[in-house]
Amino acid sequence: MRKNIRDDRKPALKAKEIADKLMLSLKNYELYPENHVVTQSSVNDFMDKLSDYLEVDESCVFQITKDAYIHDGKVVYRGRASEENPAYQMYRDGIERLAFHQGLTKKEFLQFLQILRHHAVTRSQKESDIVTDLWEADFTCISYQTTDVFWQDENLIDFQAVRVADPVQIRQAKGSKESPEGVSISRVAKDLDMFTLSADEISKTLQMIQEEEARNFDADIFEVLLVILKEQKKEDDFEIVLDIILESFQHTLERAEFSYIILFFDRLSELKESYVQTQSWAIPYIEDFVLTLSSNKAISSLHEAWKHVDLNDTKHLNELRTALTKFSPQAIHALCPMILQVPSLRLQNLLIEAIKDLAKKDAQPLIKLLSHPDDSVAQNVVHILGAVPGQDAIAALQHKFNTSSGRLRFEAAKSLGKIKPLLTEFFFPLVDDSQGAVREYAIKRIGQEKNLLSEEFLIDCIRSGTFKKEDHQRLLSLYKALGGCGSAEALPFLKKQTKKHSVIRRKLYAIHREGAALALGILNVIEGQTTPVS
Amino acid sequence: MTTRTQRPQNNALSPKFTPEESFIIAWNKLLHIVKIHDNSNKLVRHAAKLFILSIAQLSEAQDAFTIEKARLRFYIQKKKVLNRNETTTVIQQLMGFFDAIDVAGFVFSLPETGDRINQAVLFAQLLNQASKKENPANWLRYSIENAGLDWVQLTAKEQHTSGPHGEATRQKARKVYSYAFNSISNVTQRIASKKRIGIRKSIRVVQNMADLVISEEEVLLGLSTIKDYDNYTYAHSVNVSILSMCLGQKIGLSKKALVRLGICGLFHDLGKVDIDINIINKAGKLSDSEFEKIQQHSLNSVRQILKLQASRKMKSQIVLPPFEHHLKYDLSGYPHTNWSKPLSLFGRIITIADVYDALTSARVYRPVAMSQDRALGIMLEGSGRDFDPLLLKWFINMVGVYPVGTLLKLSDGQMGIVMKSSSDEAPTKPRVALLISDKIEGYIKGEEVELTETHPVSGEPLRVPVESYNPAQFGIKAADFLV
Repeated sequence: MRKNIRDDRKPALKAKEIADKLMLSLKNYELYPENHVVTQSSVNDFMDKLSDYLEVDESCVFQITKDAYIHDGKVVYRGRASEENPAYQMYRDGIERLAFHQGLTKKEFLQFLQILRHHAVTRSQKESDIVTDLWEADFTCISYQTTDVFWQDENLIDFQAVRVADPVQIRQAKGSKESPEGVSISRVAKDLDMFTLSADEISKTLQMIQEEEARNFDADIFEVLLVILKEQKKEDDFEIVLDIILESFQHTLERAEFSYIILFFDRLSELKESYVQTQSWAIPYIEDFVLTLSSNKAISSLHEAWKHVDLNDTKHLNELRTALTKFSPQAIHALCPMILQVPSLRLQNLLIEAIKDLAKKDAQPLIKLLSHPDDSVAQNVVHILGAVPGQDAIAALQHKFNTSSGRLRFEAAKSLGKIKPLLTEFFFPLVDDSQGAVREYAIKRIGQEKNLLSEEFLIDCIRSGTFKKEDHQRLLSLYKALGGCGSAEALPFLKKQTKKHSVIRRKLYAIHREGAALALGILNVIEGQTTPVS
Repeated sequence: MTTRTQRPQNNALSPKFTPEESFIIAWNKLLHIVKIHDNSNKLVRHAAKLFILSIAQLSEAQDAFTIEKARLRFYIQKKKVLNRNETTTVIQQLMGFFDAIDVAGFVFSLPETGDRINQAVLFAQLLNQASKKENPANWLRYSIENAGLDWVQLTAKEQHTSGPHGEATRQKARKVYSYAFNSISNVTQRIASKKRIGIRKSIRVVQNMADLVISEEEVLLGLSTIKDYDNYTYAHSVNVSILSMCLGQKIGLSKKALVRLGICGLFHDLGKVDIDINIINKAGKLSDSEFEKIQQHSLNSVRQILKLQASRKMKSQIVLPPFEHHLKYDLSGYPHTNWSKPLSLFGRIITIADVYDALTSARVYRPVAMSQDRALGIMLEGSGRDFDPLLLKWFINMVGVYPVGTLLKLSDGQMGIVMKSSSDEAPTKPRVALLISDKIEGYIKGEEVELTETHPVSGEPLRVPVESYNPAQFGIKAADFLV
């Protein structure tokens, strides 16, 4: 019993009302959020009733039985002796008296309700119950008395029967002339200052305590668990340790402690290498574990982490980027959809860069996401794939282009356009593409690189194409592109085009002349530098 | 002595300090300032005013309050005054002053008549003068009375006896010890049977222990002298838990931290369940492979803790100290891994408690347990290498040169069990209970005496320790006399 509860022999003033309000508050606390008007109203009522009572008596004490609250010998609340009854819940956990004292605040009472509710709902707590939580809460104006309910059936130690030593050995010791082992501290410590602590030592002690209170247990447990993992010889135990590591990992990720994540992956990698020689049976576990760490479930902890990322802290951001690249490429499945959910553009870009790095190790997870049902996710994937080298990425983008429409198709084209040198086989046909945006982009892209093939192709397009009125802009684009990709070889053609005239097709030929002049202008910007394309 | 701690609250003198801290600061300042300036000086008057105000503040709730110094702490109305960065220097200064005038404490009330400021100044001057006298406490008592300062009195030095009024507490403490013993025994047995087990009962019992550590530390320290030769590991686990928590309380850990420390102590040797009992109880020297198995027990403890039915958060908070407890302060211990991080605070505490209890327990391979003061002597040799030197110093201060339960042979030929370890002023002179032979094979408790007692004529100590023993050597259970 941590506070002195007096037996209240004074008349019970409105104790029943207090008990009723307590039950109502608890019930409403279970049904509604804490700040809901109904909850607040019942809590206020309880506080008012209690306050009235405490004007006369400094404590309101209830005795708790398995189904009732009793005050001053009278039952003030009774329910069934079952889990739904708060009296039973308290009785179950060993509380036999409960008291509210003068000075009780609403905050403390709400915290009290929270504890009761928590243990009403989740009875099979592994490590806590109402009493342990009340102890931890250390309320100043709520006290309780407990019974030794957990130990009722246990035998107390018979201290008389306990042996402190073996009697045979004792007899030998009594007869022994050997001097006792060790030297007494009274002789070893030369000066009595040994037995006093200086202000500096006290200050250092305070510092030790502060460091301990600020300790990062997850970082500790990582280190310890990796040591344990290294020493593990049994497969069952291995899995248990990995489970704990996973939980700690998620917790660390939630807190945006990316330096620990980096450290952890590095250590895990070292461990895996060491297992090759010593415990090869453990390697599949480690590999599976790394995949688990890269799963949706584990990485979803990042949603919480974004709140803790300091966008002005370059070091922190770098650690985030590095930590993300330590995951398996499988993490891309979880990371890509996140791009749209991160709270800042800077984080989005960082995430994209990290995904690119992962995809460079293995593009398949990213490629699989091309068929994501959410178009916005697929768009991001298309965008990222453009930066990923390799035939697989190109093939996937082309496939996506061929099987998509609208914006996604266009983005696929743009992504393929990032690849250098120009994918001529892909882009040449697109100059006649039915999708205007694709068409325009393709022509523009062709014109961005000096290329003899492109030059010949464009000239051929211009020569052989039929251009209706609505195609005039396209014609100009073709000329512009020719100016971009062409060489001195194109000059004769262009010069000839500048002299094209026709009475019937006046407008069209005017476009030809304009386009050719435009192309010549682009080429002549570097006149004297125009070199034949090799 | 009941100990409760305080947290800073707003008060008239300074919002940074508690009323108790303000009182100590004001008093200390007054003592220093009256040495430098005369009575009429403004600074002296102001300091005296603050001193009176601080008394008034503390006297609001009651007519009078006590301030006592005991074992490196001040207690005001039985409440421990915590050391904080902002106050530790001042507290130490005033403690030094108490030592200089050889006074255990004072009782203050607010002066009701006369010029309070002048009275405060006079009081401070008398205190300064007393520190230069041969028998300062007596002189001060006389001078205060003569000066008519009826609002202040010296308190008598505490006289403890293990009387019947402590019986309820001792009974409760024995129960708590039993519950803790049963708790670790149950956990170990369930683990040995490959069953999962929760730790709720263990947490409940450690919380009870924490309450006792805070309010009745001496009783719990007395319990830590319980040795069970036949169930060494269980008693040892409970003792390490108690000793660790006592040390944690001594250095100022919070209640929650004490519980966590207690759980770490209780479970620190859980890994021994994986070791063949014949190796643990082997009387002779261990072979290399046997020793290697023993060395695995710290890692085993971690494995077993991870398997407990508890939250990840709880496990992560209690897993490190059991791993560390044989690593040693300089990391030269075991398990031999590439671990290079300095030991945690809890790891360092448990190391000290673990070795102390092990050295002072009779074992199969060491049937004659070391006396407590010798154990401390050996540990002191390992300071800085095996043990954190600062924590070891705290521990020695906590248990004293002759810790409770030490059996002493005295210069007058009698034997005595240390009942209360010595004060800071006389570290080698504890209170002992003389032992009287029961004419069979045991002893009964006789008179309790202070080894500080001197001959009224010669002034020589009446009794001094000439030899120390672990009581187990004589089949004496120290706990029978202490708790």
